[in-house]
Amino acid sequence: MNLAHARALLAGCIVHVENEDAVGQRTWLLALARWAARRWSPVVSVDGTDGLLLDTTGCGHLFGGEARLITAIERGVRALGLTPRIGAAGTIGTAWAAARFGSAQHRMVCSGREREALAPLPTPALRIDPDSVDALAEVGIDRIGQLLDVPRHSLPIRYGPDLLRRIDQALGRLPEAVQRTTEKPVFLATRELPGGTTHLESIELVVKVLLDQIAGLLARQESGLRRLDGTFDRLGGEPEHLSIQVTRATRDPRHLWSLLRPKVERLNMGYGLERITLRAVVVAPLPHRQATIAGGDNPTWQDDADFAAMLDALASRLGRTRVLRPELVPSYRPERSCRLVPVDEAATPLDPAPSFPTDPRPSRLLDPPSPAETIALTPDGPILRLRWRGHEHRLLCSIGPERIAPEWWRAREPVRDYFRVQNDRGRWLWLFREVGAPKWFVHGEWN
Amino acid sequence: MPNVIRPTVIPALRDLLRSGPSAHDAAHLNWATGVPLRLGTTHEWFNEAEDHRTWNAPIAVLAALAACAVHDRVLRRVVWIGDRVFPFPAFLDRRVLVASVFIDPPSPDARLWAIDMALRSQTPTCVVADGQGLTLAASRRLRLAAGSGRGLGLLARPGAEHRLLSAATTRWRVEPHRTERPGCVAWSVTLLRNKDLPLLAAEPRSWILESDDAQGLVVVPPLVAGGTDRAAVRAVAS
Repeated sequence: MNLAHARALLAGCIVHVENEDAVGQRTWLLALARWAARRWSPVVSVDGTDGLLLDTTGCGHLFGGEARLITAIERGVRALGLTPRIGAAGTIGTAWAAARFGSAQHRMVCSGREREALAPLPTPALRIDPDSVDALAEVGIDRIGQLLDVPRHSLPIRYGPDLLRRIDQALGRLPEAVQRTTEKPVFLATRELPGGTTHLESIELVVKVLLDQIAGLLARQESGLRRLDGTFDRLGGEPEHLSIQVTRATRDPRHLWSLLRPKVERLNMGYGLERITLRAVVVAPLPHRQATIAGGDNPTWQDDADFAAMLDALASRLGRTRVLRPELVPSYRPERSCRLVPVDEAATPLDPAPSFPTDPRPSRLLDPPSPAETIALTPDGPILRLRWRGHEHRLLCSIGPERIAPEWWRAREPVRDYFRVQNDRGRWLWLFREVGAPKWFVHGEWN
Repeated sequence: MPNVIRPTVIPALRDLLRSGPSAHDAAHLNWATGVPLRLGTTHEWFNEAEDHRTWNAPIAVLAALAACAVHDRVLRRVVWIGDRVFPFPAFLDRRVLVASVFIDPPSPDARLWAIDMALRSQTPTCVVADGQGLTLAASRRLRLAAGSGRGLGLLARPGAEHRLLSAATTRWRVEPHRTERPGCVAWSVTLLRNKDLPLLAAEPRSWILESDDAQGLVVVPPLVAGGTDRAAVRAVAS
């Protein structure tokens, strides 16, 4: 029903229009789920925006049977001022259909009679998407009974695999369980600044207080934050957003403030800030630890915390893409065998785990390889001279080749033969030539 | 009445414990040459560019020093500052690789700040940094920073800068060296200055170092009767 329709039906009444509050509704529904979990069944899940799913397996006898349980649920919900529609069945799909599309106020479907109960209901009762409902309506199928008469093998081809899955779930051919809804704790602290302010010291004080609050919330959950977002609402303007990331989970307000302070100082406050909100977005477990009189506990743990704080300070000023850690990559190509990733980025699980090359690798890799010219007595003979970067090098020693081929999915890249060569001053270079092409490159050196 | 430590006394005790002699006062990194590198201070490493135009830091020797420190558990972390000193990760020993962090500052000022920051760390850290263009004031700043931290500062500098004044404790020159052993990568390392221990004329000041690929370290080659690498014990007249 749209608003115009409602106004027409309620002619002469004062209509109050209230915007939808999705967050509020969700919060309320979660509270209802908690309430239901304490009274009727330990496994309760929030279903969409307006429903609850209860797994009442093994709970009925506590209330004198399932019928009495449903009556008790209905009575309890009505006592809250709500009008429930309740369905009970051996499968989630049938219970859902009975509750939302069943003819009676509440309806129980005995196990084994799902098909009979579903047959008169409209196709949307199968929890399928509206496009499938429309497609079925086009061929004259608007009841589940009609749909069940259609040969099974023809359904996935015309309407996709989801339709058959929903039918099977409703009839109990496919298992489906109620997933308990768990609430994640929210680590959020906010403070209003009535009238707005541009006074930096006041703002800093408020941010410190909010950081203390967040740290307290995190300590209660034995957690630390990895990322903190801040929203600074301005008078008559768009809010300003700040974000900090840390290398290692922390709830130390002093450390967080040291990272946040330079950003707060550079904040465009406009005509003043009227509200500051801080929220820990990424949270990780951080167990409590016993402190000692010398500060800290395990020296190793304390060292790691100090080191992480130092990296955070570096990343905060230089940018997270400039504070990196090396990571090996399973590739034979030298330029692809390693990469540098931000230190706050989680390690990538690699399969197979890369192993160190057994042949020596240079201390410095040139990327991209630097072209060079060589002179040899015979086409495939030892190299005598190398011309590289405008200088002639007389070579005394050449070790190789070490053949390195690209991965099979990069078959178009040429195979390389690598040589370690030493010039007359003792300098070692890493050369390669592309097999099939007389091109030489210097790819690294031991310096 | 028994003595009771009041809560107000605990922070004072904690400060007292922390202000005691720090671990690095007597700590050194002993490595192949036998000349110890004192922690909590800076050491400079010079090398020449072959063509006197492009300069490449002596990464292999510095990486070997870092490996020595990590293997001996003298230091726990390695921070490489400046892309000129970034080693090829596959060259590094696995333990050094795991302990390493690479920092790529965008400007010389940011580089100096990053080195200062890393040297002040209370974690035992080996800071290997590009020290090109450091002034005397900057080297003093880094020396003070190292003194307040628990690490070791290894600064790579171009050979042409060895005439500039510096507050570093030791200064070394690294050059590639030709050996007659096939496939052996070697360097000649010369101690130019040691503020902790003034050099005597009779003391060795120059060593030949060979890479030990198996351990990722550098070693002084053993003396073999009739061998050619006798530089290990050869004192070079100053």
